[in-house]
Amino acid sequence: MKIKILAQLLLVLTPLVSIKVFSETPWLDKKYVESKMKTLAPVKGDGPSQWRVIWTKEPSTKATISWTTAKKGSEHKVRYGIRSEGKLKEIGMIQKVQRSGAYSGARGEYYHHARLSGLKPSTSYQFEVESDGKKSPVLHFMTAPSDDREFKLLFGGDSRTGIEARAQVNLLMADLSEKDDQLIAFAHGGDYIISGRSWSQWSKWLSQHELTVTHSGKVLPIIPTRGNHDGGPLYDEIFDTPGGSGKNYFHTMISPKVALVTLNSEISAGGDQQAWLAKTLFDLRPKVRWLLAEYHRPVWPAVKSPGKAKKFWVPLFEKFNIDLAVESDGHVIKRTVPIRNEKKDPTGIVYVGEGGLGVPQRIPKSDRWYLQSPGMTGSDHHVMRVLFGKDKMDYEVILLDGEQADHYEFFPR
Amino acid sequence: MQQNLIWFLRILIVIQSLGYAAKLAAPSALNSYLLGSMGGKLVYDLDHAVWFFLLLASGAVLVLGFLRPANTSLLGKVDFACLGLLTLWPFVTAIFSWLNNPGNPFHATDPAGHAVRYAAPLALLLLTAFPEKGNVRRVEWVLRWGVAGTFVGHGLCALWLKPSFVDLIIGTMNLFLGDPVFTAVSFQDLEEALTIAASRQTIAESALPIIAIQDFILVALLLLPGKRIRTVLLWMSVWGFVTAMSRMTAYGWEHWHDLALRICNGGVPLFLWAHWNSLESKKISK
Repeated sequence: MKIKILAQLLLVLTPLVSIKVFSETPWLDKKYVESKMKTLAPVKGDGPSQWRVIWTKEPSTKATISWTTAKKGSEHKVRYGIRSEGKLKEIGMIQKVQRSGAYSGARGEYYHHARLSGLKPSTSYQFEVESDGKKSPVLHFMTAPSDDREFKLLFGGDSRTGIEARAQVNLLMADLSEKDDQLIAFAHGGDYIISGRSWSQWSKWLSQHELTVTHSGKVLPIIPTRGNHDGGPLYDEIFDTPGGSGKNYFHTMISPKVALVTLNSEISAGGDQQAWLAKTLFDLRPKVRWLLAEYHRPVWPAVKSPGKAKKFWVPLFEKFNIDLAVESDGHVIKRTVPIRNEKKDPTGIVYVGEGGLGVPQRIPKSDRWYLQSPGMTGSDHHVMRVLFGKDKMDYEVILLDGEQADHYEFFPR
Repeated sequence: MQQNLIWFLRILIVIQSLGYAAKLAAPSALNSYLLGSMGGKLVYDLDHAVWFFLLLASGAVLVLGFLRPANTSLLGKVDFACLGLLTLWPFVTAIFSWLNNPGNPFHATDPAGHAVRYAAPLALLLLTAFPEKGNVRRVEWVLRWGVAGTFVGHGLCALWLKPSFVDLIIGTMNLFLGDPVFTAVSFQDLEEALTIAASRQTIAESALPIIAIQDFILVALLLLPGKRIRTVLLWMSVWGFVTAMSRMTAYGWEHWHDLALRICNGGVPLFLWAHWNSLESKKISK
């Protein structure tokens, strides 16, 4: 009789215990998030912390590995090598940092950037950063392809407030990255923190970025975009001045058939940047199958007024038929109908995004004509995942609980 | 003060307030500030309520201008309440625009740069509530400081080459001279367009510091104690209208609300100019 009761109890309790212990979305539990936050490498002493991989122009052969130390230190380097070729100690090459300096407004913390070049495409590289003999764990990342293979990118923006929710989204990204070798990088759409001049806010963001690293040590390289809250010199110090000082616009050839044009909506949109955009799209459009643009302030917003760049950039997006525009800033989820000449047009441009990497969410103004079906709106923390295939580009929005909030397929033009 | 001048000020305030109401199609600075603590639904409702009250108050201020109720009557008090709201909202948005963007030097100028927007309804409130002769001079100084704040705020942004100011100049040049980037069809055209675009950016970036110096000089002349230089006000008015209008010349007619909510930038200097003219006429007739 007792055995029977015990068996019944086990039968009832086992699923409950397994849900708690082996949940597929443990980051939904606040205690789990708090416990993960305690594991982050502290910014103290002369050891490395806040490691990150940055992609800008040629990620199939180049990557920048960056980190922070609490002191200036004297020797900073990266040891790296191809992951499949053996242990890092034996096969590792060494790259000394090319750029180091004190973070503006910090209390003695330093940034270090080691620019790796001559990398092999579609290759998993392991690396460890070392500052004055103190090392990071061995981490790894995948370089971008130089052939036409399929791969995935994550997109998202607005991680400036909602520190706990930001940690949750980071853990979601790590989970997506762990499960999927095709997922190779993460494009952040800007507004990392509230005040771009506050080192303490950036420092928290940088430490939390470690939560996007998987259990196996896989790091998602970040393709940065400057947002309206990211003013000041720290952005360039953290991301090694992507696109050049005072510009922060550039294009990334993620593969021979996929290009991402990162624009800066926080500087003049007309003039130099507009002309550069025209020339870049003119050059890229005949070469690539998937041509994307990312910038912070939306030109087809779901909440706010259109960004001032609309006048300067949208005619070029339409002239050169970009395949997708990724926006942030509104704190919602949105996907517009295809738009051309201010009208719904099946040949037009689709605008997605609006930012949900932790920031409190707004109510979208879903009555706007360009957000009607087949467009969509929503309001939840999320990340976007895009599969770049030969026959189609698969776009989806993933919520914190792993549910898919939106899905759309794009076909080559 | 002449009634037609007070009417002019009243109309400026109504136009400005309609601009603010239209601007609420996007979240206000107050909405952004409270979003984290109050949640999306509540701040959305708050903006909606403000939009409604702005429209209501604008209409009421216009109608009550015709009725001219006694200060002590109920309608008189409604007039004060409406003007109070129309003073408070521009002030609140300027403050929260600054607070929402800590460390951003351009947003830090908003409380000064928007000064004429809350000085104008405050001046009308004071003129209506305390129409005594001695009060007119004080009200004049409220407006002078308001105009000065706006020109200093804009002057600083111009001096620091605010990107949106650069785009206002480039967009306006593109309107009148054509946009070479959009008309380019070949690579060679694009090369040419690049040169033209770069030159327009250079022109804009060279012009802005000069504009800033002009703004600061105008402010210094406006605030000279014991002096009323009417030419300065006339130029400030022209410049205020031109810069407000540039929101439409650079970005198109759909930005009418950006002109409307800046109507006092040119309107208040024009008001003061007309007031000083009337004072001068009185002096001559005596």
